[in-house]
Amino acid sequence: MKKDVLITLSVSFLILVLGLFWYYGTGADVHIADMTAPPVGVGSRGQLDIVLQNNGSEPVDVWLEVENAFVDETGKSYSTSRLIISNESESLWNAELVSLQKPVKLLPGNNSVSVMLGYQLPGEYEVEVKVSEDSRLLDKAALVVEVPPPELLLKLEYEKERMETSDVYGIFGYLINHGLSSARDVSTNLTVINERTGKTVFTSSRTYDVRGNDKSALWTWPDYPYAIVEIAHEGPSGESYMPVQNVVIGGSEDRFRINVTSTWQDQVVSAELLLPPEEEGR
Amino acid sequence: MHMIKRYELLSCGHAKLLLLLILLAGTCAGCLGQDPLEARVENLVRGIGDEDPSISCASVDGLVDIGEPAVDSLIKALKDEDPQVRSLAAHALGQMKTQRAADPLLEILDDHSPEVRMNASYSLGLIGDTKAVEPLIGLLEDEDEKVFLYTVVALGRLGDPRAVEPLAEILDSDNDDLRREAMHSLEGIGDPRTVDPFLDLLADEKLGTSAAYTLSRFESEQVFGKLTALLDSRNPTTRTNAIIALGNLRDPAAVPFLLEMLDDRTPEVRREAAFYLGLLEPEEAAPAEQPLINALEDSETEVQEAAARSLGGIGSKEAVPPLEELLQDKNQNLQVAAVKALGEIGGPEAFDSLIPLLEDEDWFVREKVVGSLVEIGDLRAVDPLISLLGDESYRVRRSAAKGLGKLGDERAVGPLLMALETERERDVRAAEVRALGDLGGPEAAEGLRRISTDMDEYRSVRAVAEEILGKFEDGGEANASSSSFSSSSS
Repeated sequence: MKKDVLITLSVSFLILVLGLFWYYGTGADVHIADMTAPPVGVGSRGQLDIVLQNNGSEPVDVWLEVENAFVDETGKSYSTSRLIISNESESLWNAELVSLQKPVKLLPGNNSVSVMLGYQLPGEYEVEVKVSEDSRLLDKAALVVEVPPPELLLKLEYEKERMETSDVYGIFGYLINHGLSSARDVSTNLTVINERTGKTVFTSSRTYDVRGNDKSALWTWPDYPYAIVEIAHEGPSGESYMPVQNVVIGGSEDRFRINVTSTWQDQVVSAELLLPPEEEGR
Repeated sequence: MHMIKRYELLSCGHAKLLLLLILLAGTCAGCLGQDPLEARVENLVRGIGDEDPSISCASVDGLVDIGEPAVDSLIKALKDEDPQVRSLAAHALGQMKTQRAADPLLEILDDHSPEVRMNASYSLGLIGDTKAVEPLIGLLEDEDEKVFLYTVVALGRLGDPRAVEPLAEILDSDNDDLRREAMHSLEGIGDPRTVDPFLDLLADEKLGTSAAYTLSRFESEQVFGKLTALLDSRNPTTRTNAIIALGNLRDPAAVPFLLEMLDDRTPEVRREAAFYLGLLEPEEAAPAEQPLINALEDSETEVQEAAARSLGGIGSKEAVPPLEELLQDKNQNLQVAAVKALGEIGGPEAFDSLIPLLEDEDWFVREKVVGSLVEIGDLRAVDPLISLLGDESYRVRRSAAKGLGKLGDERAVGPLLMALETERERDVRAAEVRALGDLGGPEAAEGLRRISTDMDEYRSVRAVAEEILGKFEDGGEANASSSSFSSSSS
């Protein structure tokens, strides 16, 4: 009995060693030589470039699995389903797309492939790449991809126009994003306070989208301001100012503080104007 | 009976162990040795039966991606119990356009599920094997409307003349969608036998114009005589569509017929005749010039408008005085047609008549005048266009900027840079930047460099500046001006 047990254990151990050797040791000589991924903006299409080195003398079919290639707005992670085989074109849209449902043929030497990446939330994501031949893992490597948040700021400016006995200030504004990531649904509130009374005389709210390294105008209609402040020195001009919706009318004695505040996740930015400006006096 | 005793079993201990190991090894080999591609195909075929449409559709996409190695499994799936699996397998095989799938797809054309018949039929059209023609013609008896519709489309893709008659019969159907698809399918087949059914369709309010365009794709000798005969039809829709077909044939022999139709009693017919006369090559247009000038006095504005545009198209110098009169017309469409025509005809007289309209109160007119002045290419337009960089309408400012770029006079560089200091509208800024690129020169290049690095600039405008600077560097021509116009006056 003892001998049987010993034989059984020995053979089992041998199978285990052979299995491990088969799984890790007898596959093609393929390694991940390099991986690079520049920072990618939220909602933008990123790219992970992988150099796969086939040290054999024959082409090898390998499977690629890329974890954490996509993360949706809820934080759920997905592996990539498509792969770009690098070609002469620098444009992602012109690159040859192949499916990861099939193995990738690696020629002897270095092979460049690129994987599409996409993230709906800023952060740092560890992207893991596994290369296998049939079911044998040949190599694996991970890389942290940086997805920086948007960097928002607001800018307000105005134009003054004289209309009969009124001064009309047309207010223009921009939501500027100096970050790489886009910001969607940026909640933006306009508040107009009469400095004389301290009371809020007008509020409005709207959401804006702004792409990375871009700006969005706050006004809706081309050539029409975001908001209008009319200082009527005798009586209101009666002008409707359509299609501008944000309109405040006051008298000579009034001065208005125009505050615009934008909020995106935990970022809050604001800008202010005082109209008429102090240098104009009253 | 020989009994195996316990000790005998124990004595076979090594054999038992060996057997166990063989089984274990077999199982391992079975698991580890299974072709992963095959395993994926199996999983994906299972996936196409999933209740969740996103999974079933993604599975179809995955199988289509895999291609040939998935064909056998998909063909097998055509006999699955689940109609969704059969239907989507048929769909996937069509997407893969694999010839091997034709016979198996033909076998399921009588499937009890309409979805399966529909996808099988459509896929046969995609695969393009003409042995499917007769079975698909048979499927035109199908009671299900979608099956019928997809079969019509499939027959069109197959392009086989055997389908002409059955498809032509559908043109008489009450269902407009079916008739439209039948028409497109017949158009794809392009058989001469389709001419007559299409001629009949010219009277149709809904499909007549499409039929006219289709007829114009036939050789002129196949349709010309039949179309001119229809110009005498009592039905104005037929006459209008016959003109559309004749006009699109671009056959000079059609000119006398088109001219004759300028006197038709129906305005739409006269309008189409006037329009197609404007598409003639200038050397063929001489006989049309005076009749078109006469048509400027037609009782209907739409005819006058078409005549004005056509006179511009053929470059009629004789038409300049009557067109100038139309510049004051109260009908804006007519006014703008005259503006456009004068721009196409060109010359100092046309230029002089257009300049006062830059003061028009309507931005639409001002914008069109800018376009025409630029088309004339007279450099006297530069100063007025520079003034329009401050126009109240962004559309006019944008047109002025584009025009200054096209006119290529470097005097505009400074004003364009100045306009960029205050311009707020993105599209106008982009046009101004492009104009600077057209004009070139060190001052423009410097301005473009500033814009290309300004992170408070609209991204698209910055990108335009970067692109132009890249071209400057490639061509080494930052000092070059792209002016290609000659001045008729300085």
